Amino acid sequence: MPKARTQPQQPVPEQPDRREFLRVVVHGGVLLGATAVGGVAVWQQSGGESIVQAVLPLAAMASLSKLERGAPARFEVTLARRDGWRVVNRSRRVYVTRVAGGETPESFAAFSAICPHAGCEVELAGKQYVCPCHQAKFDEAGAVTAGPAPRGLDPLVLTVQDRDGQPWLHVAWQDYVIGTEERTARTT
Amino acid sequence: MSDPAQTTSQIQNELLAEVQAELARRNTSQVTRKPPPPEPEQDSVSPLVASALLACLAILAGTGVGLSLGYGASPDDAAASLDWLQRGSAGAFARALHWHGANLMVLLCGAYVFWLVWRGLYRKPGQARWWRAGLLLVLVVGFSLTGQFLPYDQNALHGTVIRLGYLAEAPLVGDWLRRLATGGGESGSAALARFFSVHVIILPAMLLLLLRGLWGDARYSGGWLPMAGVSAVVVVLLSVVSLLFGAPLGLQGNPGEPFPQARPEWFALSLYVLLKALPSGLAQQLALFGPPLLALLTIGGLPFVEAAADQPARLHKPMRMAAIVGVVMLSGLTLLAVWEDHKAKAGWFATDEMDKLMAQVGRRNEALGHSTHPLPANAHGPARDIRLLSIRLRGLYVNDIEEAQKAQWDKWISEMESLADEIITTTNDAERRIVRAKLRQVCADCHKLHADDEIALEPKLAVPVAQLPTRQTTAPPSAPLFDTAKLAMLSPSAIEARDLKSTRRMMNRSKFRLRDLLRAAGEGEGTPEGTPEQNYLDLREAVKLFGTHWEANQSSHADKSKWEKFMSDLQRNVDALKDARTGEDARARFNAIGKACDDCHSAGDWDEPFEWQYSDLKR
Repeated sequence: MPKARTQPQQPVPEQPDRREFLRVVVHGGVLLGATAVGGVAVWQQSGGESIVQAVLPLAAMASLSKLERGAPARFEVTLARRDGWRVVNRSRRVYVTRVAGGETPESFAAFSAICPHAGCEVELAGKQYVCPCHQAKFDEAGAVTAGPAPRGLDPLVLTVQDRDGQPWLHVAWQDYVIGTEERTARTT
Repeated sequence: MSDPAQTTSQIQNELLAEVQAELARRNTSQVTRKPPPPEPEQDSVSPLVASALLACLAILAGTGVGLSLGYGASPDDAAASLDWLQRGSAGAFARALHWHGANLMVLLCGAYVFWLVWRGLYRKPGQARWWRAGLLLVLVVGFSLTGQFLPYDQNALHGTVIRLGYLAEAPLVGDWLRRLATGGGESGSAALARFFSVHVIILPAMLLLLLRGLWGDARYSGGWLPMAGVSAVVVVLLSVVSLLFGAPLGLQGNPGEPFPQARPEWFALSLYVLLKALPSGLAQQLALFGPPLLALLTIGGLPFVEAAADQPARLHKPMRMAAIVGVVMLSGLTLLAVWEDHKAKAGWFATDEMDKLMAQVGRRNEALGHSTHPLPANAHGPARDIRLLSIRLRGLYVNDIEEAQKAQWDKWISEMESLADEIITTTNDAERRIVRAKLRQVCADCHKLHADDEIALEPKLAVPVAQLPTRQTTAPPSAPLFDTAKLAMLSPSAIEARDLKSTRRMMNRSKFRLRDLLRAAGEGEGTPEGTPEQNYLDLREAVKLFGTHWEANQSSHADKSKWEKFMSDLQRNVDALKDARTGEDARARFNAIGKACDDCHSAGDWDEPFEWQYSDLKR
């Protein structure tokens, strides 16, 4: 029929019938299933163990005799961490300050430089610690004096251990959950 | 008044007539109002193939999303990240599904196009479906070519380098295309980023444009069971194959390490064997770019050339013939490629050689860094390579191993494999260093028993220029090189029977004693082992017995007279070393021995290649 030929050839919209629905179910199901396999694959490998606790050498005790009260010293420690398929070395800063005379672990106090507010690193400004990100301030004992930090600087445990025949001050590094008033050790 | 009963039946009749008239009007109006658009010729097979294609596509898309979430598109990370992903059972399954699914996809696309040609379904008004099928095939080949490169293992890298080289041969635009694909000359990080982007963003976007049409092409009028059935077959087949056979992931790609086993995917083997046989130049260009161009022209132009479906076909028979010839040629050439490789023990059938494997292990060991340094952040790559290489070394013994030593060899190889794996799984740097030291100890233990050659377990550390040793400029006064009294007193060390039988061992006996003599005389770097006199006697004895060696091991040496000539040269020069005086005299006599060695080594027709030269001994 000539009239039919002049009609634009647009596809006939089929009614969404049972058969079409089943097709969506079958092929959509295959897609979902395959995505689930891929999702589980990624989920299986996400996280993984990451070193958040480690006892690391800071300095020889002999060199610490020069450390005086009211003048904290900054040390750098290196932690191996899992980064996906890599293991990488990351550095962290530790502040050590003298709290008593002598050469025992109890003579010193140590703080993690990670600000408990948002995870930036605090800097030493005279006798206080200042976080450059949001201006949180902490006194020499690590307590909050100004700014948005929910708690004081996180203390780290010090020990004295032998290293190459010399007594060395070691720090037990620990990551803490940031942004909370309560101090909670991170386990992963 | 008329009869009420009569009136009622009259009214009923009138109403009935009206209803019938109205129904008739509606029926005719329905017929005339909606003329059906010309439908493409229907068949029962192509929608089912399209259904299978969609199911396969769904599997590729789903697993592809998962893989891309755990993949690092850089030469250092690609293989390592995939290996890391495959350590989970779902990761291994997902990658295998993606791998086998990709192969099935190419097969299904080829079958789909073949079927459309076979049944003449490219004719108007079905041309849109034909073009979709052709475009899908082109896209799938694009997916395959880009996807092959992404694991960045040796096969992926070297195969892609070859393919890009061919691409560059295209007239006019070739070099530009290659640079566009690689982002420069090297097939490295920039190329990997581009291939990844094309594979996961650009090609999928183009595929999405096709998807609506493909969905329509897969609409099947014969009930839902066959459609669900083919989809289920695809899912079950791929799942079973993927559970049985994982996707291959070889040694990390290294442009500096040759990989003659590189082969294209199965569907390109025919082209590979053709290109191997053709001379470079016009013939190769025709073979490379002729068939794809012809295919594109056929896909695009066939519906225009051929008469519409309601008229007698013109090209149906020739097209069928062409399709059959194409399939036969493709499979014939593919089989030829496989058969040639099988015959030559190359490609997929290549066998491992001990020396090459050991050299590869050595390079990876160096990449693990010096023992005084922390492990590099990319240690995962070389560690995984050592694990893969040790799997290949198991059961592959050195030539002269005794039966009793085989168990120990296997034990060492197993230790090597598990220690390499520990480097990957351990997080603590201190522990990883211990594992690295243990790994090197295994190498040292094994080499002590099975190789005379010393191996460097530590990579060379760069020495600052200022600390390089300075050579002595003033020659010390000359003196006899050997103490003649000691020479008379000592006797040469005994040589084991198995050494006498082995060319390599006899060669090494001479080589290392000569090296120690050079060191003692100040001609070589390093500390000599043993006294010069003992070393000299051992060298002379080894060379003397080596001279008779042709009888013991004829297979190594092609020509007896040649062998004897070289050996008598060597023996004469070694004898002459006895009276040497330090300095210039000794140097000349050593060089004469060295020349005898090099002459023999470079004479050619020995059936084992020589890896050292006299000048190497002085280093």
